[in-house]
Amino acid sequence: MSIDKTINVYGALLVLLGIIIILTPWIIFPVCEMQGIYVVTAGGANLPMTCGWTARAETGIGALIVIAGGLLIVRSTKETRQAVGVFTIAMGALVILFPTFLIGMCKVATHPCRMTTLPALEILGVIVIIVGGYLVWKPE
Amino acid sequence: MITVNSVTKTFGAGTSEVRAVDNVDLEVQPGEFIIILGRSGSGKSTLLGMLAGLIRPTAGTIRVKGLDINTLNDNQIAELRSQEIGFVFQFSGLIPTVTALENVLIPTLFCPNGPGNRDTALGLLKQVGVADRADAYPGTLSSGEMKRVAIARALINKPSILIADEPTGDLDIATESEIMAFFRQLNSDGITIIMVTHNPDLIPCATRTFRMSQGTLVRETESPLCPGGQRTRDKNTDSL
Amino acid sequence: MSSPKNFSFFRLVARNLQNRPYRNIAMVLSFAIIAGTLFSAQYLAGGARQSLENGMNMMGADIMVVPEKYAAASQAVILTGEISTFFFNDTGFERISQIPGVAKASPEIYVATLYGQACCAGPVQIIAIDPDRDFTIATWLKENPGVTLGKDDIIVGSAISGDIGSNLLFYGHTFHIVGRLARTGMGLDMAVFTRIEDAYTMANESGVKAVRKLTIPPGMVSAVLVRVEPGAKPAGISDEIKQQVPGTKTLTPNGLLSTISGQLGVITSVLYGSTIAVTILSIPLLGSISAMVAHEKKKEMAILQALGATKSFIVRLMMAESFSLASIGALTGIGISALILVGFQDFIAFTLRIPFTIPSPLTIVAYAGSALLLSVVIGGIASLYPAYLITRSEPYETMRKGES
Repeated sequence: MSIDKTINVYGALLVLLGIIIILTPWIIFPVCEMQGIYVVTAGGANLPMTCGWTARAETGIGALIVIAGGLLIVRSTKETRQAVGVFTIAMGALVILFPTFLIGMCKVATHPCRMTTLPALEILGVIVIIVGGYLVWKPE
Repeated sequence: MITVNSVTKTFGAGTSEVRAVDNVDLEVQPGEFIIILGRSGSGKSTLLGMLAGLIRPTAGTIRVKGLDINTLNDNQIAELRSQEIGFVFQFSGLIPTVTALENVLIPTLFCPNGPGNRDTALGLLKQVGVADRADAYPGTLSSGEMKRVAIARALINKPSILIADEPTGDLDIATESEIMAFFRQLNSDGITIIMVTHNPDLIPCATRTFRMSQGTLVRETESPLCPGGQRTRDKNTDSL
Repeated sequence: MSSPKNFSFFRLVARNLQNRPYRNIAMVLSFAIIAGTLFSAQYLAGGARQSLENGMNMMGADIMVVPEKYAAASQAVILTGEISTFFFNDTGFERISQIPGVAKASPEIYVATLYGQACCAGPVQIIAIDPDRDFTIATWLKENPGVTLGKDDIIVGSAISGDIGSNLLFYGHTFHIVGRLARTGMGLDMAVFTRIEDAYTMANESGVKAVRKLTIPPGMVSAVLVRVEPGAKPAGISDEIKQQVPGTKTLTPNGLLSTISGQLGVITSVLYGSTIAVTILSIPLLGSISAMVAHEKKKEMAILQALGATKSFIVRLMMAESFSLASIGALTGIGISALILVGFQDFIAFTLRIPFTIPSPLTIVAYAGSALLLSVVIGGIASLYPAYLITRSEPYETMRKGES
């Protein structure tokens, strides 16, 4: 019973982390388009910049992390824990890779996406990886 | 081995002064098994504490293996205790944050070059009958099991003297017999034992028995060594 | 749970710490806050200083001569990257070069570009140099021998985006990026270095090509960078320059440093003040928790003494537990602070308007070490009185008190 209780805590933690990752590029440390900085096309349309696409990708990954956490809460066996852990590590890696290599952020150093959103996502990604690692290698 | 000369211990002062131990003399030879009987409050535990160097006498001298305790500082007494004296508390006194095995190993911290190690500790736990509980925490042990672990702990550094304060106090009769048999074995191996109890049925196990009453020590009649742990008196008919 | 090979002092400490986890977490948090605050203060102050040193080294100048009216603007260009265009009323360049003690003098023209550059959020600072006389970029060029500053070539600061080989447009004139400078954490990171003649070309063409015309008065410069001869005193030469060329102000690295120190002083005062406040508030908290622990452990310590522990062993045990909590807390606080400070360094520097660059690894280790030391000292102090109390009591009486 106590093992279940501990795993539920980590499931809840993953759900919380997933929600924070979703909220980070839109509300907590918003990307450029949320602060009125767009790419203006020749036709006069406002398009999101690179950081906007990263934000959308992070929303997806955040949702997956929430689902993983929910799975762990609902079904907390050793196998579930380890499987969730492995995928959590991978998702944490994506949280970091999206804004750095896979999609990227704005090139300008003083844009809010570079100054705040990027480091926040990097830190969150590291935390997610650590939680995932713990789930995989947690001693009984 | 131990010489007690006109030892007195008083607590408090003036009108609230209490003489826990009053002018006691005692000579313990190596290899003896001494039992001290007495009601609670008779001063027997205080006397034991003084023999172990845990309490300093108000008056008189105590010599342990030739060393006058009054002349030793706290560190020297602690060293003497760790090397020569094994003490079993009335309340077993296990450290709750470590396992039974680790409790037995604690005295080895104070006697790093001593004979105690993990194997000896396991052996002792086996001898007292709780080897299967080596990894258990004191909170999960019964009082009997805790007592046994405490006895094993007292013996880890192979002391020459074992001082036990009511070691069978809250044990059932069967366990009590086992413990006393173990003590007799230790005694026959050469360990000097000084034990306090309120159970007169254990008297036959001793080389000499004393009675403590209101701080004074009186010699009981010399008894033969306990022949295989036979009980010669009915517990219920005796009163102290 | 497997038992250890042999029981050690540290295992006893670790076991005791595993008991009462919530209270220990409270203590760890206190130490984390203390160490984290101190580390942050040192890190920010050190990073600002490091940035200034890097920038000053990069500039290579002992004295910077600027128009008196634009002294603040020129400081802003260097330190925080605020963009400006200004010129000397009088060139004075030749006069400055001839002052005794001046080893080298290099003219520079500062031009602010227009808004809406593809490369950048806002305008950038163009710094036009005379390649024959310049000693700022010269150092960098020496370190990168394959690069030359030719016609329409630019060397950009680290914060300007655009790959080497690509083009940037300023006032309608196309420039080629041939190099990128190392990060200084100062305003120079937003600067673009080009040749004076290319700047004039750009200005001349701007009437046609650009949204707004740029005028660079011929023969005028924005600043003169001076390197003094070895052994010469910059202060004396500064005075001479101000005499010879009226209407000028001289900036020195020390002068810039004290400007920054003033700004930084406020920030670091707040941080160091917070450290002191947190420490003062924590000591009674930690003391009372230690006293509670000591009270609970009185009987346990008495048992250990009865088993043969010396009083110094007891003291060492209690101090070890306290030091362990202090160390764990400090390392946690330092780690979290470092993560936030390094991750958000651009944001912090931008918001606080200070130049900033990450201090050297050795310096960071020193900061962490001092924060750790502070925590450990506080941990030691908090545990001293309880340890003293325990060793003063008679073990046997303590044990007996617990019996029925």
